[in-house]
Amino acid sequence: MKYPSSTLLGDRGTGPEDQLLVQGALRGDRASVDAVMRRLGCVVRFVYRLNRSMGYNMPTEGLEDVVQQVYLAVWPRLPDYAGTSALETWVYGFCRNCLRAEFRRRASRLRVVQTDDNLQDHTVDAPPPEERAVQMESLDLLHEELEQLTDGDREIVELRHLQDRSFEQIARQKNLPPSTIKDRCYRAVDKIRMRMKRRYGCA
Amino acid sequence: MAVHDNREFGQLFAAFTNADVTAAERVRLNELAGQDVGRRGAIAEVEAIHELLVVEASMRCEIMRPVEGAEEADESFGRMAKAAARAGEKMRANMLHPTTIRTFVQPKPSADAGRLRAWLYGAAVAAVLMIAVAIGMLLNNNGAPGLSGGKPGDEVLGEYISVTTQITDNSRELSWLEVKGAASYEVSILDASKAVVLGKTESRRRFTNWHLSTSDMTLLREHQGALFVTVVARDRAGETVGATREPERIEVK
Repeated sequence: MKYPSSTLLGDRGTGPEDQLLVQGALRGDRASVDAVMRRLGCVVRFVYRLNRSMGYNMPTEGLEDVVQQVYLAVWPRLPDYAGTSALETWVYGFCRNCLRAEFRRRASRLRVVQTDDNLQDHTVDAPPPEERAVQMESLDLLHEELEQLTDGDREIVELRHLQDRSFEQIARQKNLPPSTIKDRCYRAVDKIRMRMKRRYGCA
Repeated sequence: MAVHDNREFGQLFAAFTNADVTAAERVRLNELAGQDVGRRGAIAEVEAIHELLVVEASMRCEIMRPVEGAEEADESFGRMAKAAARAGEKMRANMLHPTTIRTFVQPKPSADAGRLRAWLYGAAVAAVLMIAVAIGMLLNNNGAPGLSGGKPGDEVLGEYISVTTQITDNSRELSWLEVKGAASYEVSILDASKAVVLGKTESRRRFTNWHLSTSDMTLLREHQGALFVTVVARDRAGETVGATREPERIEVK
């Protein structure tokens, strides 16, 4: 699976190749371990940039915690890595989840502290502008919904809507008829729509 | 007419959801939706999801681009990189020295009732005999070595602990992953003759790293010759539940 350089510049490998690499590392093959560890170096820049892009603006000590949490979360899940996307794309989800969880944990602590007039804890910087906060919250919801899909369906949706692939390209890659890919893509996005509607009243 | 409309709307709506419609088809979709609140709502919901997907794609592209010099120069980025290096070292150690956890699988009894009864009878007789032998061994134990009753490989050895093996001024600590059931850890830094140069015992389940003081570092630096580290995890009863496979050579930089 070759991503166009314009979309995922950080990806160096392809899903199936990366899966072999991870399997080698889990068997203790030193060269594979070294390669996987180098590839996981992306965690730092992902967390660093997500913190800014999502408007969390967490302090450095919080980001250090997040980075360590990502490694702790990735390690037990490595055997589950199915190679449906490049290793960095797979790790991106962990970065996002860990960062969001840490932000929420800190935000709830801040709320508790702010109810006490005697204490002023500046754990989190000033909240981002309202509009941006709403958009980022919506993105979080979308991300959660994407994670609810099966690996295969999520891959199709991401290839189509995040990497702008044609159905013919996806069909060749997945070795399935284009009509099947179209149907699965539609059903997956429609499932997201219906779930978001049920959960939040609107998509 | 309505049936035809429904089918046409359904097909165009699916294509629209897939971001696979022409401008003319998009206009037609709106015409078919007309004043139908449900249809118009569904189209608006898909539009909202598409917008989010565009933002998500743009953000991923931004997040995943290669690292820049200005970022690397940022102190915050540097601290995060060090945190990643520490965490990565632990993961690397675990990959190179996989944890061994031995488990038992209880054999399923036969479904045949007659065989089951015979098996239970046999097991009861065997248990009585084993208890009698055990009592005899307890009463007549003169310290002579004996064979374990279990099959080789059945014994539970606990977990192998992998410990970091590099200490620098920036990372003055030895660390390892928590061992399930451990209530305390004994960490020893040994010389080539296996004599303890530095040691520490902590009765904390979550003690999984030993931060060395400046004087510890001085002591280790002044030591001539190779240094090794061992970690032993013990449960509340003091039984070993994990240990380093063998003393691991450490490097002090």
